[in-house]
Amino acid sequence: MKAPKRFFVKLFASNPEVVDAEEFVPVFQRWIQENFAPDELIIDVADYKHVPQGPGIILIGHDGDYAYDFVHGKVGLQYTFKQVKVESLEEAVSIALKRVVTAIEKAEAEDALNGITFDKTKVQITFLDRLNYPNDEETAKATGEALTPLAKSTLGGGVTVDLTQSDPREPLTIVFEGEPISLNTLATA
Amino acid sequence: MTSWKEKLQGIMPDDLAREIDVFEGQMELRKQGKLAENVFAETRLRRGAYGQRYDNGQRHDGVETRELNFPNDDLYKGPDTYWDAPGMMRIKLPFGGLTVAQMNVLADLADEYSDNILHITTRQDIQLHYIQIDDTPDLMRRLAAVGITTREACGNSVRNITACERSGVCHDELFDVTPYSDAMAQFLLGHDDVQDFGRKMKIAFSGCEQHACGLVKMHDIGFLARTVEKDGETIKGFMVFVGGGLGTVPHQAKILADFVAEDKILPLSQAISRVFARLGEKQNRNRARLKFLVAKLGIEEFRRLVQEELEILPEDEQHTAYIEEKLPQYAETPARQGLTLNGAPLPDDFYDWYRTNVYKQKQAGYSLVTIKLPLGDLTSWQMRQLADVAEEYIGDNVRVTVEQNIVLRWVSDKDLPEVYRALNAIGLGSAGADTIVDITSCPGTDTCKLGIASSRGLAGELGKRLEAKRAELPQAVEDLKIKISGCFNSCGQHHVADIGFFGNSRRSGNHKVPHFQVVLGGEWHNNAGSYGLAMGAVPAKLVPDVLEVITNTYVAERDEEENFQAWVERKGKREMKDLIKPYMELPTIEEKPQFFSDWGDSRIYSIADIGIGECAGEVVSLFSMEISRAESEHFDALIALDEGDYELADKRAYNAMILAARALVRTAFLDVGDDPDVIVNEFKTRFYDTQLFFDRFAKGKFAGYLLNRHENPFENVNEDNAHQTIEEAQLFIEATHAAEGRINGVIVS
Repeated sequence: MKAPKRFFVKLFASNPEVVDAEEFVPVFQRWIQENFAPDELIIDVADYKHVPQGPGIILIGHDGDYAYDFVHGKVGLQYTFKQVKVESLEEAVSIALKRVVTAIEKAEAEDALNGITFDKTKVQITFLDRLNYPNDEETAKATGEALTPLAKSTLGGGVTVDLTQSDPREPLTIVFEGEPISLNTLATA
Repeated sequence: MTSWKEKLQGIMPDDLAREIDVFEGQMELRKQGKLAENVFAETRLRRGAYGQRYDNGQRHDGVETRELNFPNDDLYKGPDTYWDAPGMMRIKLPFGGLTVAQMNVLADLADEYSDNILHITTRQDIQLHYIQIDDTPDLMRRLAAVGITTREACGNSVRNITACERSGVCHDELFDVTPYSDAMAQFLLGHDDVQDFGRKMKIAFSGCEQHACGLVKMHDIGFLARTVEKDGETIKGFMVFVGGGLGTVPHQAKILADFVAEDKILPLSQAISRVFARLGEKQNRNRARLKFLVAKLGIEEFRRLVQEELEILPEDEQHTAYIEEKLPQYAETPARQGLTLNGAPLPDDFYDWYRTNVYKQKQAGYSLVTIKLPLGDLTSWQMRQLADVAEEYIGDNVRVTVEQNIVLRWVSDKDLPEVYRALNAIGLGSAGADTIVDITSCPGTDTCKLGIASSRGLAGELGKRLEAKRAELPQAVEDLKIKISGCFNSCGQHHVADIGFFGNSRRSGNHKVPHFQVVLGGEWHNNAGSYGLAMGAVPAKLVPDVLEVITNTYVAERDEEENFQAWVERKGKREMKDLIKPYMELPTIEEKPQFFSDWGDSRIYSIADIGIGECAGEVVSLFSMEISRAESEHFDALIALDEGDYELADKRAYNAMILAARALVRTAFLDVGDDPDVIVNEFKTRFYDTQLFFDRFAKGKFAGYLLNRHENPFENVNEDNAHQTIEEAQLFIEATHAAEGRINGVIVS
């Protein structure tokens, strides 16, 4: 399938209670100073912790945004891929997964984030492209099928795919669940 | 389906579709280098596509200023503005009106093109941030498909036309001004006579005089509902104000006409526009708003010119067509019958919310519900869910407000508990609307190119602290308004708050300290009836303490029923300044390092990474001493103004500028002496002509205040021009602080 114009991948926090969202502000600001993503242009930190179930703390980039996000009350770390230059959906998702998992591993190693960990067995992918990825059954099925090989190679052969859609106005969302994902499995995927 | 353009063909109004195609063509021309940067900049501004912080490709990351290497590093969308840098999209909503369909589309746009947040502005617009310019044509098409245009949302044109969110349901209004504001918006949109302004023009409508309503006294043109009886008939019309505005130097509007009948307001606005386009300043954009033209000509001469223009205005059937075609049909349709709130079980905390967020409409059985948005923000999901709430309970009767909230009109009283539950379920059920906890703030340093201090960071902190003790707040404090701007440009409308703050900075040693000027005694009611005055700058981190001391003293000392403005007036500026003086001391970074970061930011606000020698240190010390004389003189000018001695106020404000200029001149030329002519000449030669005084955005604007006042003193000083000199002196002193910091080795982020 052709890559969407924009989408995000999100992994959920296992223990969000251990850290206040605002602690991500200095961490993200330091990541900018350290040039933590040398292949990307990172611009700024946006703080939306005041918005209930909102996008939380965002590390704004040109290519994509990293966010400690609480949308729908599900706290997690997500990467929104905004400048998708590759042609295929699978390749785009693969890049986004590597980026978010890199950020997660870095976040988990941050003392200031007090031992936060993320559930690496479940990956949510949300397609912010209603023109090419409308939230309907047909698109969900086709997208799920197109991404299953990648999901199997990164989350193991026993991966499950949840195509359940709620409000059709919300962007199309697919959840894969399997074995824990890591940079190692992504490298060989 | 390959594109939004194809998908929405036939759904978008033809004229809007065509305009967007033209804009897309202009984008292509710019990419090919066939359209000049500055021409394209104004073009995109007039389409609502605005710049955003860091779009010049530079960012101070807390350690150093670094280049942001945007992909197309030789393509610009305006002078010093990279094509690929994220920008802001302003979406104008005449009178703040929103339909359910529009809410759903706006939600989609926020998650597909922005950062999932919709931000309500102080002029009933919605802003989306971090937008890529290449996405804007499709974004505009999707808006056009639901009847929204971004045309003239920014740029030197007629901006969004605002109106009180209670229009049509208010007990105190003379009549509903909504259809008039809408007619005005349609008439002036893209009109030939509003295309050649030196600056923007803001228009507002009010239905009543006593409330904040449409804030007509702080607008370029304000229409205040009036009726007259003639031959036994009631004729609707408006008192018309012109030349108001906040900005760096606030002006109270003047009355242009006591009564203009409804069939004359469109030609009148056209005539004003023609006079403004013809005689308004075009070269110096700092003096180009209508308020400066009105002040320069005087209201009588301005009135005469407008009348003259009216007499030669070409006939246009649009001037009156709306009266027959639109006014009779205009009506809002409630979704449900208006019924009373009876003995149904009520959710927890319902009464707290009901007390502050519900306004009983003049129509029996209906209420207006205010949704208090934190910092004016809501998410895409919230907007979508809110659209559902609207559809179920009220229909298309939604408006955004100048206090950065959303109101649901025509809620049946019987449904209030259910509406409260529904809003709570989506995180929009906070109580405290229109109270001290409902703080207004501009974007400030978060996204604005001009922001000096973090207005949103401060607003968030104050809101959190006040919210925690809201239940215990005395009524007199709960009723206060707090408004915050990130700089002197007043987008947060700090001049018309009881307690306002605007961002600036001070130097301590080799570092900058984020500060906020404390502005007290502005009046939100009476259509922004009077403006507050700056009392002194305090470090950003001390603002919560300053707020507490001001409110505690107010509660302790106020006479029964005395409001905040009256208390400030009675207490006098000297005593008010004494209240905040203990907080104005500048610590060193070693003493209080936390003062050197802004709210919501862990980084040092600014770091001087070059050493300052002893000599420079002495110079700094001398400057600090001398600039404080300028600040004292400025304060005395305020006192003189307070006492009605306008001539003295003007003179002292001018002296304050001379002293500030002298302080700066003496950093380079110690023997400048005291002669104002010599000081101004030295200042001009050393700092103005060399552009050392200029900052990146304001350029020589603030120096112009001194040079102009020195060359052209007022012949007759009145309250207005004394006030103007005082405001200008304040800004000149601030600019002198900033210039000294830049020149003497502090890194300014």
